[in-house]
Amino acid sequence: MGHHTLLPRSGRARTRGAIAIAIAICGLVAAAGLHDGVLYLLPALLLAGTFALGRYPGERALLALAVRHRHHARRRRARAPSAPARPAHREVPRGGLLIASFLAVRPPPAGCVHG
Amino acid sequence: MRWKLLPARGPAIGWALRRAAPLAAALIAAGALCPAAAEAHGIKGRASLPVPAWLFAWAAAIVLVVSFVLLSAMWSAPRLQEPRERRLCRWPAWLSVPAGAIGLGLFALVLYAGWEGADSAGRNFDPTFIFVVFWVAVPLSSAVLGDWFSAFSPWRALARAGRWLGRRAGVGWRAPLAYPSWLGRWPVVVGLVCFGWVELVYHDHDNTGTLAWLALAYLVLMLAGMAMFGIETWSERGDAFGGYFNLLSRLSVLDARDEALWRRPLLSGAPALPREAGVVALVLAIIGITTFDGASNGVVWNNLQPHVQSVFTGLGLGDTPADEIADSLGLALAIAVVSGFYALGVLGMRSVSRRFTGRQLARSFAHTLIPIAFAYVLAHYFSLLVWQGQGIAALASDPLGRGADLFGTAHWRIHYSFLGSTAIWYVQVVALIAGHVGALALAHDRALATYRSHADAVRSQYWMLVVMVGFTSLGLWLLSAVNT
Repeated sequence: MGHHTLLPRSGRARTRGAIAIAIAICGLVAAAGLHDGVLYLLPALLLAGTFALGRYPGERALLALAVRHRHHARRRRARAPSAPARPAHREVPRGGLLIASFLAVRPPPAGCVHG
Repeated sequence: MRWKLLPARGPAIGWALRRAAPLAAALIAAGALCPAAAEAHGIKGRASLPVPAWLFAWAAAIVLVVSFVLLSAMWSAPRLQEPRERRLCRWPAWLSVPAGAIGLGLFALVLYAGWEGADSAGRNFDPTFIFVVFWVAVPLSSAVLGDWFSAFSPWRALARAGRWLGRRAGVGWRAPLAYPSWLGRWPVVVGLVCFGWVELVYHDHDNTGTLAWLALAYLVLMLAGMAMFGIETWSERGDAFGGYFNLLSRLSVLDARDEALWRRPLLSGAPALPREAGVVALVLAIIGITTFDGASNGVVWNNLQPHVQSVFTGLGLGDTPADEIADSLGLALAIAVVSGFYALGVLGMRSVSRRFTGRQLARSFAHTLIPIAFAYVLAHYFSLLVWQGQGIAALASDPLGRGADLFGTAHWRIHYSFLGSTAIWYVQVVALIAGHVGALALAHDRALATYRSHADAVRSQYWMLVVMVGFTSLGLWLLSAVNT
């Protein structure tokens, strides 16, 4: 058995027994005329049965995909050009602001001048 | 080698799977036996579908499996656990006064119409307002607009008005009791199940006078709770409807709190659901009540119910009490089946790592059921909302059913051609699938934040995939029955 089978022999037997019972009950339900119910619940039944047997199909492939996706994302981030630094922008007071700056005993706060 | 990513496991890990497997068998059998066909508020016409309806369940399962694969492969770090919020606007505190007054006014109208209006479900304002607007439209709109009901809550408004008046009169009131942590959200659960019982089981639920008395009793209960434990504490944990609407509002990108409106990423409100007592039961109760609503008109329950009822009539009970007891058992069974589905997922996750107990996992992943609850409510009540909801325009003009025409809309009729059965079916399918994909995303994000390795997180989500596929299939089965 591959390493995906997690259950000991007795556990596997009980699980398979339980699934056999579930399938038998579904068969009875279907025989009772509730075919629709079984048809609707079949995907859930298949998934639950597979996982209960200790099988997780595609798990390795999913993890490999995740690792590859992480690498790609990291490489994309590394390759992406960083945002160009803004050139130092120094505003020169003009007009009334220049006069006000000149006349001010204490110059206005920088935020007001450049704002 | 790649498979070394997988942690080694001993045979001891099999115990949870061994427990999960018989439970799975029992659940699938119960699921197949319990809900049959038809839906109380579902489509009453025949939808013309190009393929058999059960194929939609298979297609939904494929969509969920593909979503699971994409999430596992492309979502490798938690993103929703600590969301960034942005404040959109603020509003003055006094706005809560007119909002509360509107809520109180509507509540007074419900009492007045119930006692003084015509005793007819079609002509009186109360049944449509309570079972369509209050029970369906408010929670669904909360999932879109956020928790707006708390501002309009009549019991909260009345309690706050009483507190304000008391302070003006120099009488201060401090809640004498600390809210016990073991009580958690259980009052909300009990309140919702009681309301569900009244709506789905109680024979006299259309009696307008009874509805008014029940509304008054609820107001008194809320005021007593607020007096004992504090207004905000009880509103959050004891008000069944406030708790329900707040739960669904966690799906919204909008969050109204601290007299401001905040914007947050989609679904990021759900992970903040407190992990306290009763939270799991709250979400399961909402899904279970909706499930019973669908199953109660189905073939299997309608065949089984008379046998259960005859047991109680055999014990000497009258037809009505025996019928109500049988339906009560059906409601309890529906909640149990839904809880069983979730327990199966939790047991499966428990098999991945022994670090967490079943209770810890159940509470930790409870918020992932919120989109499912929303999807169930939307899908099951959509036709009711679209059709019966139109009736509120006429009833608002003539709330007592005595021929008044206050707003000129008393003559408005319901347009059943507004939306066809097939269109409603597609809306329901899309709602169910979208809700379950959202639930998968929430569960995946929480798993990444919970488990140490990405491999454990992915493996745990195989089990949540079973839960999601099971709930989707169950919901579609319930809804499809009315088309057959």
